Amino acid sequence: MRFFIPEAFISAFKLSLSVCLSWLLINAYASSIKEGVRSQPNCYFRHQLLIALLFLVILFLSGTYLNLDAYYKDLIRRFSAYTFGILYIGAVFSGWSLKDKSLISLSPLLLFSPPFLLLFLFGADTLSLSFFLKDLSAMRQNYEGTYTGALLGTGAGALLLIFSSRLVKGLSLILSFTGLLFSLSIIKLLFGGTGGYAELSLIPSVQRGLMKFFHDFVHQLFVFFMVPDHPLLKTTVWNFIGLIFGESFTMFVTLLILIVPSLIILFKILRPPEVIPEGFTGARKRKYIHDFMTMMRLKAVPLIVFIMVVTLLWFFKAESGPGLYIPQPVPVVEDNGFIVLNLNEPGRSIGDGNIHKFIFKKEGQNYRFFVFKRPDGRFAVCLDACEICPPEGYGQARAHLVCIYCNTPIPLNTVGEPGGCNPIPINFSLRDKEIRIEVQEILKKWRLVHSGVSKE
Amino acid sequence: MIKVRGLKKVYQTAIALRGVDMDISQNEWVSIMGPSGSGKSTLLNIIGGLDYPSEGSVTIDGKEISAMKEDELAVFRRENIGFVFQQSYLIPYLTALENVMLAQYFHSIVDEKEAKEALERVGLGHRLHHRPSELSGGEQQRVCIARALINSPKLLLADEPTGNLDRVNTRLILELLKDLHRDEGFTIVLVTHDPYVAGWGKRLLTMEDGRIIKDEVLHP
Repeated sequence: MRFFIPEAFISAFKLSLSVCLSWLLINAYASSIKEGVRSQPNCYFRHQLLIALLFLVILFLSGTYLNLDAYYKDLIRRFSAYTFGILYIGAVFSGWSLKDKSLISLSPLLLFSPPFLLLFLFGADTLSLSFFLKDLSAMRQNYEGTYTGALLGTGAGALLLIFSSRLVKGLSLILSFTGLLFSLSIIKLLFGGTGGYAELSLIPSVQRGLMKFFHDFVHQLFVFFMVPDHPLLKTTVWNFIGLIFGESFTMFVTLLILIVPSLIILFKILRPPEVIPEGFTGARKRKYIHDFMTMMRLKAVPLIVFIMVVTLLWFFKAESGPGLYIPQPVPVVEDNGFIVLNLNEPGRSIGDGNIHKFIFKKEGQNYRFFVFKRPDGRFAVCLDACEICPPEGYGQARAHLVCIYCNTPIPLNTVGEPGGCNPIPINFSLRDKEIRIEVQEILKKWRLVHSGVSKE
Repeated sequence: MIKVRGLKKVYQTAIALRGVDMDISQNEWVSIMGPSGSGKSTLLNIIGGLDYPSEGSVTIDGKEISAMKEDELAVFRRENIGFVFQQSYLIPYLTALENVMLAQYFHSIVDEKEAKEALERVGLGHRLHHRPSELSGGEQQRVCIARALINSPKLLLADEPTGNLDRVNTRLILELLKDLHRDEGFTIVLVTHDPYVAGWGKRLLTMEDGRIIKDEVLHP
């Protein structure tokens, strides 16, 4: 049995290095602010940093010790989103509550950036690392060796942290240099972290939460105030309404949420000082204002870079999204009260992760349903309709099914769950690479489908 | 305030300064006289950081400007020295007010109210929005004085400031400099070949062939 696994060491060391770099740069930046005005913000800064570090440890332990399935991973994402929300609100309030637009105006940045960077960028990495270590220890059948290696890697990173913190005092003397480093670190960390938080992080959670909130609010409002067959509630109208709870709109709102604190800080710091030292008049006063503004503009550079990078990244991400995939329904027939579908037929694999629509005719009525293998590996069989909208059916986007009628996005891993705008699930059995669906089940569930006119 | 030691300036074909030593105290008004080619303007340019000496040093307020790099020197000039030349060097397409505000801009930020007040102090409150071509020679020179003093320099260097003016306007300008010198307390070094103008200073240095040959106190 080996008590040292190099892969574990390297992974943990890499993560520690990233944390080190952030700590070094943020702390250098914080230290560059004059001693007299930074004591109070630094106090909050340390508290929030501790909370963020604690959160990372929880993430790591939860990934290591719990046998997490998709549900719990989603729960962690939501928890992260709420934590982020609390920190976010705190940062915004602390920004607004500052009265003096002097050097202390930077404290919101200091308050916000450590938990922000740590949670956003390292949250996902930490969880990934814990999953990685778990898999590695299972693969090598060497739990002790894996975690010893990781511990040593983290220790090496921590040693760097200690040396870094000593270096900080020297760096902080050169404000412009640290400002530049801070800008570079934000760019580096954002680019490095994008992959992480695209897969498993807070932004998709915030975005998904927003989408759900907008959708439910608007849907309930319309259903409450208008009769279901009101002429206004037609596909085109719903398509317009659907824009506000679609992926693009919520992406913009998410962007806005991310950028607002930075904008508030920018608004606060890019203004002339309110207090001019006594005796400063004429050219001396102008010089003071000029130097103050120049310094503040320099300090605003990281923020502006941050806003630009976040915006650009998300625009590119938004533009790369494909359109809806809407397959033609394949006709199927009844066989002794059942519909039987082979998982693998020549030229078609039902389990390929795309939706497969089928149409079944009985007594002059068409019944549409689809089979879908979710990203978590489970099969779902649903009617191509929900309980709320007329049965226009669903299309498939990258990370969602989308109601063609009202543009509601349905997260892929929730397909097959009942309720609301989700497609109505159908009981089925999966045996010998065959899916068997009872015809009576389809007829019974179709009664739940909204009876409104589907075509204009 | 100003310490000049062993100052020499050699051009390719001529020697402009052959070793100048002098001290000028704060709040002094020193006139420098001498015939054409005696090195007056060269000395003034080196004191003002517009030129480097070939040898020797110039120290202003404890800072050796002759050892400064171009960038440092530009900052030092901007914040400590005001210049008035024989030619006005005003920007022809800017008004009197804008010309003064331009000096503010290069120093720090503009303040229109302060610029107006500066022009009012030199008696040009009614000429704020006139371009240089619409001003007389004396008025142009008063704009230059307002421009030179707008950034509160410690030192005002004037090279033949009244060279292009008649006697009436010369007197007006000198009266103005005298009032401002008394009120603001800056140091003046004024180069001239006119004994009348030189007589307004408290001290007179006479130069010849790149050297100071006489240093006399006019008004103790």
